[in-house]
Amino acid sequence: MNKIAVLSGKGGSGKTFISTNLANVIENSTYLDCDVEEPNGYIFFNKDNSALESKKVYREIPTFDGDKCIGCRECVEFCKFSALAFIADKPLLFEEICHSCGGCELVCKHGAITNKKIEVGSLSVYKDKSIKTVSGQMRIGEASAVSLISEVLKEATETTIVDCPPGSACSTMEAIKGANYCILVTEPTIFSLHNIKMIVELVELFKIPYGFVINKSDDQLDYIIEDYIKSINKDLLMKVPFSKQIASITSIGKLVSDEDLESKQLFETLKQDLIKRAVL
Amino acid sequence: MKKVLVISGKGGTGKTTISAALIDFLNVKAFADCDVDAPNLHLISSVDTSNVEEKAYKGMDIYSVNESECINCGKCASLCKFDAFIKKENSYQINPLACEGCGVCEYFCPTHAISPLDNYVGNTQVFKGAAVFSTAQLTMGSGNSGKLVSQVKKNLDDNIATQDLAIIDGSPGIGCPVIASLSAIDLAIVVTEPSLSGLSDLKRIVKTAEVFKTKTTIIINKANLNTSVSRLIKDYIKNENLELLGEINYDPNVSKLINANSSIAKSKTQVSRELKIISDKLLLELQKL
Amino acid sequence: MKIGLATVEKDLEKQINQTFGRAPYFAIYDSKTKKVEFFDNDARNAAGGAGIKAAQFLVDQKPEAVIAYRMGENSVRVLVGAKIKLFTPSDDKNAIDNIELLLADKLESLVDIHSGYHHG
Repeated sequence: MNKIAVLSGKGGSGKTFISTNLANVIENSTYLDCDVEEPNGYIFFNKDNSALESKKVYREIPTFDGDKCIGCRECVEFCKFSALAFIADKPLLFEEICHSCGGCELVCKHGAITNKKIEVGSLSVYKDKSIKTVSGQMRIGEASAVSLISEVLKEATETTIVDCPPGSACSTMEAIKGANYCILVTEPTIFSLHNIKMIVELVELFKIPYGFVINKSDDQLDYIIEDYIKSINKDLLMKVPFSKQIASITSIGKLVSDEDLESKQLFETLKQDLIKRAVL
Repeated sequence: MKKVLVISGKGGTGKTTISAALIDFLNVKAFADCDVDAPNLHLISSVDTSNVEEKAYKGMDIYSVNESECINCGKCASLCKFDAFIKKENSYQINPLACEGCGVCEYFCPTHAISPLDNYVGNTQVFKGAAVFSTAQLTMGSGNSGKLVSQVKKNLDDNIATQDLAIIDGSPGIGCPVIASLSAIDLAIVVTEPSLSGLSDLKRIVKTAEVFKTKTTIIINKANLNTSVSRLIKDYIKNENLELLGEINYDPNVSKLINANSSIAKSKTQVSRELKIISDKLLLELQKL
Repeated sequence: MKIGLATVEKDLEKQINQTFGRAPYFAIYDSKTKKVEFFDNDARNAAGGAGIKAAQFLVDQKPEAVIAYRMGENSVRVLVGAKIKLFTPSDDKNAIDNIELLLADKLESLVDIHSGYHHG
């Protein structure tokens, strides 16, 4: 099984652009959109606007039986997240703070706590040509994307491209789990350089091999990233030139690897390179 | 004192660049970078770095197994909802990156082999010169971003009693760091770009800001890159009764200015003129509040 | 009637604290005995959920009313859930004067409720 995670640290560098076009040139691949806060990939693979399958994803939170509760407050004292208060005949739960650890239910000695499901978001599956697209969409107001990302990752197949969230915190860490290669997407700006260094720390910690792509490449500015890549002895896999045409095609939800021959060649070459590295 | 937060939903739309320009134009003396996951404002804001208060930030305790006390019963791993346990030959240990600090393992360990560990998840910095700049860096991999954002805001609040206006550069997305940054904000500026991805993300961040009943205004950045999607965004803004703060056209010089750490506000570019108009409009909107 | 409030110092001649969850002290004033008890606010050192912990503490002291400048919505939920009335103080008066105003029915309900610094 091959799973390639595409990440960047900085938002807007082109994770979705790279991952959707890469998936597009690999037959029978699966594209997983793990940016569940702001999913975009489905726009590119969703020609007739209909999902094959859509399901809600849940996490568990405690419920309290006022008749069985004797007010010992063991649960309130136990909760490390301060998600419980005791004001009447049974504990009051603050759902958005609850981390679903199940601890209160376990420590209650009077059987007064069970659990119920709340929705964290939904997951939709689309099929376009031979490519399976899975998009996770977090419910507005839900604080943590991790459990939804975990569900999306279960849809991985033989060859999977994972579009990661921005940043390097818990959501991104969840999204790169099990990846056998990471593509780090950069753009030639000091912002991108600063943020990609944190991503390098992350993938090194997870011991996943990785290579770089420079998106929106500009001959006069690329040195910002190229010098860094050389300094850490890593490989630059691909440069995508800055082009108004590429931006234009992408902005209307189309894939440049379908619309433009030169771009298609770029992604075919990337695919061959990854095959040579035995990660595809 | 009014607080303005710059957010975007979609990443890479220009929050930090625009925040820095507004800070320049409006001569703002109190600002913060709440994108603690990937802070960038310090790279282009001219702050006096000599006077800085830096503190390590402690997040929630995580837990660790004292392997010499561990009897390898596996009760901890069976109860852990976060898959945080690593099985070793004769004991179990906790993966610090996966541990959420719930304490269930500690409670149920029959030999009391598990105990809490201090968990430093980043650094906060407050620069105090002619202006006050509060920022932080989350240690890569940590899960305490919401709390750290709150600390960055608190550090700003603690230092700016006499200021009229504070500008806060936010983070992309709609999750907990954004939710934490939206509290106690007078006006939110959502920076979007004219792509279908941008529009889709704009809708989600606007809904998120609505939960807080924050006054929401919008800037369409790089507007001329796709005038028909810009049109779609403007229709959306009108239908939702939001305020269009302004539009900025794409200018390739902006990247060069940023990389050279040059002020966009002080540059003689079209973008600078457009941002000046936006900053004037922002002042009007703030007066209406 | 018992009245709860967050104070800057252990002295009702001084001010009510501007914030609630992480205030240094809480005071419980009994209008019948005219006695006041001060407590250190343990919630102020909590990693998170300070507002909830602070509100829980006050609930357990069983006041009928709480006076506060502003409060997070989680704290409000706990106090209102325990049927405690919330009032906003008069800005230029100290703690004991605000208590007298409350007893004379001259204080308005609390309106400055913010969404809180919650989330982890």
